[in-house]
Amino acid sequence: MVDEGKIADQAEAQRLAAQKKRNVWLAIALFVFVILVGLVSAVRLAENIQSGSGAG
Amino acid sequence: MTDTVPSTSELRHATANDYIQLMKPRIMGLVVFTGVAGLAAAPGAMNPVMAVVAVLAIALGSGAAGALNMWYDSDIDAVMSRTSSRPIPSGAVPREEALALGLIISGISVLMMWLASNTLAAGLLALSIVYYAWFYTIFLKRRTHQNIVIGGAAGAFPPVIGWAAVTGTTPLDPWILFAIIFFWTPPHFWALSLLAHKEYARVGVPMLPVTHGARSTRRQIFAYTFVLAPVALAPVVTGLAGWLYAVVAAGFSTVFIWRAYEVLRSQAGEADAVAEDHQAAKKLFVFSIFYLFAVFGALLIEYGTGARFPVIVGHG
Repeated sequence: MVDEGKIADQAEAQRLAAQKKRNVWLAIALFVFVILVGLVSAVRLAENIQSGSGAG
Repeated sequence: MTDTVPSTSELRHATANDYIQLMKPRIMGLVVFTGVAGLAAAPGAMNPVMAVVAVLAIALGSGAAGALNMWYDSDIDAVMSRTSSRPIPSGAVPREEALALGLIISGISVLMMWLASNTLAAGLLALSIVYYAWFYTIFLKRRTHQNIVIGGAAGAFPPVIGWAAVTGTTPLDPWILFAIIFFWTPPHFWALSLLAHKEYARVGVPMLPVTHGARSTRRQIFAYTFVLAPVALAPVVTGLAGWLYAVVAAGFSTVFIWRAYEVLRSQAGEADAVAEDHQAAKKLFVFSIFYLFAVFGALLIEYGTGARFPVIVGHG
């Protein structure tokens, strides 16, 4: 019974560790996505300002 | 669909690599390479940041389509030995997660392409994802022996998307690049299916060797390779490509035809085939990958270095 409990605890710990790892990767992916959208927006703004279409 | 996908209790813990494998990274490499070639060959300039984002969007679009393909095909993947270790049949990634990942990344890739370039490029990317994930995977693959021929168009879109990202148009030249990949796909894939036809037969996928036999497949491989050679040289005629490309395309096409001829003469895919016969099909499959990299690589070098010397006077 004790062994079974230990095994279950270990499996749960492994599951949590794997989930934590996935969460970190997901956070990194979201961060990169936000940065890319920001970067693209900045480049578009700069291009529009240079071409004069940004002036009202 | 057969019930061969692991239940929740059988799942192992997924790693980041499992999610990368879900997006078929090897196919992604070819897609990115041909997409970059289309982007480089297009007339006009693109902001380097936008170009990088556009290429990333093409890569993600390919990955999303791959994930959706693995989601739908997980039942047959589990039965075939070549695909049984994929993330879903191995129990690493639940099917629903693959579907969600595929759909979310599809949306992100199209959105990123739209932000970085234009509506046409984003629309073509969306079309290519739908074409592969729905039209090929769900509609064609299990219905007709022409699945690879018609479905092959999905993998041919990247140079057109790359070109459209730069110019916002799709004239004849990028469609010639499309045609090269389109005619390259059947001999490439049928060479593999000659080796794995028993597995396809077992899961009921009507690949050409299963429905029409190995002999007919070997003939069709040779015919498509024969058609591919002049198509591969068409960029030289239109002035899109120069001498380097002409030499590489002519040389590699000759070897490709020779390899296809060896397969034609062999017994590859037959019940009484010996190791040499299988070797001929394997050689053709491996060479076909080199072929695509070489042809599009030559185009990339010409445009990357500016060393493009037109074969036909008046072009350039």
